[in-house]
Amino acid sequence: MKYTVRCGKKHQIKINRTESASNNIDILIGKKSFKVQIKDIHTDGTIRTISVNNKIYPVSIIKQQNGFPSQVVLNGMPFDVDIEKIESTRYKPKSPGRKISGVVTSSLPGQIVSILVKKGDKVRKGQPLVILESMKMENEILSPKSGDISKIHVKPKQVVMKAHRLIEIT
Amino acid sequence: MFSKVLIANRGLILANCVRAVQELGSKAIAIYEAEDENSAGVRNADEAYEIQNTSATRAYSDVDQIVKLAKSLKVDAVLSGYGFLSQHADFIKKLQNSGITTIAPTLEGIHNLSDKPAVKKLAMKLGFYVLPGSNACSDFSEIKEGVSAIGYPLLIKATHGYGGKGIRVVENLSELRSGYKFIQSQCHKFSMNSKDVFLEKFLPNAHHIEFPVLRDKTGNVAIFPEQWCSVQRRFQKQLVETPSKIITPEKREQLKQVIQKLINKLDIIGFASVEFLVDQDITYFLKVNGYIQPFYTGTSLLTGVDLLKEQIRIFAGEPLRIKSDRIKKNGHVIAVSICAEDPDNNFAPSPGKVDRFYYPSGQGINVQANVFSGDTVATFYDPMIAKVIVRDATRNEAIARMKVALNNIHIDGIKTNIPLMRAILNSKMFKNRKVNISFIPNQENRDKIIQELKTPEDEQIAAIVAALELHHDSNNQHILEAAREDTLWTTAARWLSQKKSVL
Repeated sequence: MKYTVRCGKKHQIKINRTESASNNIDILIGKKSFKVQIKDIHTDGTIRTISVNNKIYPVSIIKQQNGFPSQVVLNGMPFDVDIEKIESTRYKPKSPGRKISGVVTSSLPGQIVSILVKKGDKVRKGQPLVILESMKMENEILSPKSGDISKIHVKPKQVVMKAHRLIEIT
Repeated sequence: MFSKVLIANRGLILANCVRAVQELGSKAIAIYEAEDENSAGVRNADEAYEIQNTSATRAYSDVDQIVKLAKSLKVDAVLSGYGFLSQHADFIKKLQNSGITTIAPTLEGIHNLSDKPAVKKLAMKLGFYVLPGSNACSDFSEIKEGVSAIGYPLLIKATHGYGGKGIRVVENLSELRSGYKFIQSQCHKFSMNSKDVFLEKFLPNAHHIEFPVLRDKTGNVAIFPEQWCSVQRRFQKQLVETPSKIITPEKREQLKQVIQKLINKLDIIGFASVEFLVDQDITYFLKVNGYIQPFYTGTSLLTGVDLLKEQIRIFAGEPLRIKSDRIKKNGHVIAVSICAEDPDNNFAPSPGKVDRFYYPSGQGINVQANVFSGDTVATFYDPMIAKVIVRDATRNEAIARMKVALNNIHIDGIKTNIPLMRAILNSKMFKNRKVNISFIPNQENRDKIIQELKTPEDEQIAAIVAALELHHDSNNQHILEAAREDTLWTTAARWLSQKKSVL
């Protein structure tokens, strides 16, 4: 089966499972071939350890809700991955990750220290919006995209749970 | 020696204190909040007591609960490490009144160190350079007046601040105002003894070094080789080297002589660290901290002296067993903090359950961890989970050793700063000793060195893992089936049928 995966650049990957007892999976990227073995999987089936050309890698895989991998941690380094194509089709279930949402939520439980923007403000991508205290540290919540502040859902000193809506940008 | 020591701290410092206390033949008592129950220090302690969070204060800062427990358990000493109650005058006083020794800066020490502008003046009198700065200010008009003599950029600092808390860089009046507000809120939050602030010139291109010092009750002083600490974020050290390669041996000896005078004048008992900024060959005195410092372990590996144990011994009344001129420097040491945080997301803490933790080991590699496979990284406190410390004969060899050590770490379940630490060690800037205190706070620098670390081979392997994950997972077979069938024709047919149903 053929996959097109974007990771840095586009990689055309062909997976053949051989019939031998060795569990070797032959993988081609272009003309380069890789001998791959799945060494260990989590209870939920996610790959945990893999060997590529006889080098063993413990890996972590972060998936989107639709089951597609979105990040692979390899050698401690996170790599963003995106499966763009399967076989020759462009089939892909609706991916929530493609379009950047303007809804800013808290990634952690904590307390709002201050809100650095007002409704109607124009913000740049990466601009600090809210300071949230969590784990004894003040964390700047950055704007995921450029736009206008359309809604502010929180007040200073408010305690928020994980995934609480903070701010909306349109 | 003490028979029973209560440790009023958490995390890695708790684990280390428990070890040190037990090695000295004393019983180690741990306290913990419910969510810290699964951590090494709590497991290893001789006894561990849960402290409840009350509405007013978090458990580890709860003076009354901890003092009450210490009294009822009849402990003879309380070891508070750094942060939390380590410099809390009221806590120390209450324990003293109950006849319990505090292994922490003494009240006199806290008093002498807490007025940082006054310590700077004393340091200047003894012959150190100091940065232009203001006196302690208690309101905004005083602060504004102070600015004219210093000029931007400058630092606004809480006089009682510690551990990178209560410091802000400000470049103009509006930042000065918001910085002041921010620091006042921190003074309250970290129960500092005063809300005063002072100003100090900011040198963005400087290097940060500090000397660990021990002093016993009779005034014997041992000054250890300095640590280089310029890899900082939010004024917290991420990576430390010792000795530094920033100052010459002559300069080091010169500084040590003045440090000895300063420490004696301030009458500090136990552990202290004396901090300096080095900018264009001038060494500016910054401040003295009176509590054990998180990276003391680097100095311990370099010199063979367990500073934490020596600190406990000193408070038990024992004389210092080592003299400054007898301290051996054995090669070069690099130490790294492993923190549960997400460098891709502005270093937001990344709590969670650690499914798997492979850590490095071997000759010259020392790992001190607080969580292991199956443990949980709590959501509320410092995200530090481990320290990796390596020693080798030279700096270049120590860098190579640390690079391999960090390559061999794998942690599942949480995000960490390991990629950033690997990127720093891999960078030319670091190799050439050009990383100053402004390097890591700059996102462009971070992105650049992380990009340099990503090889095309690793990208290919990550892509293979992603494809294979989708391919092998039985939960995804319907996706693959759909993909096989999803030709142009079936897409068109589906679109038509949807259209019909709408009509």
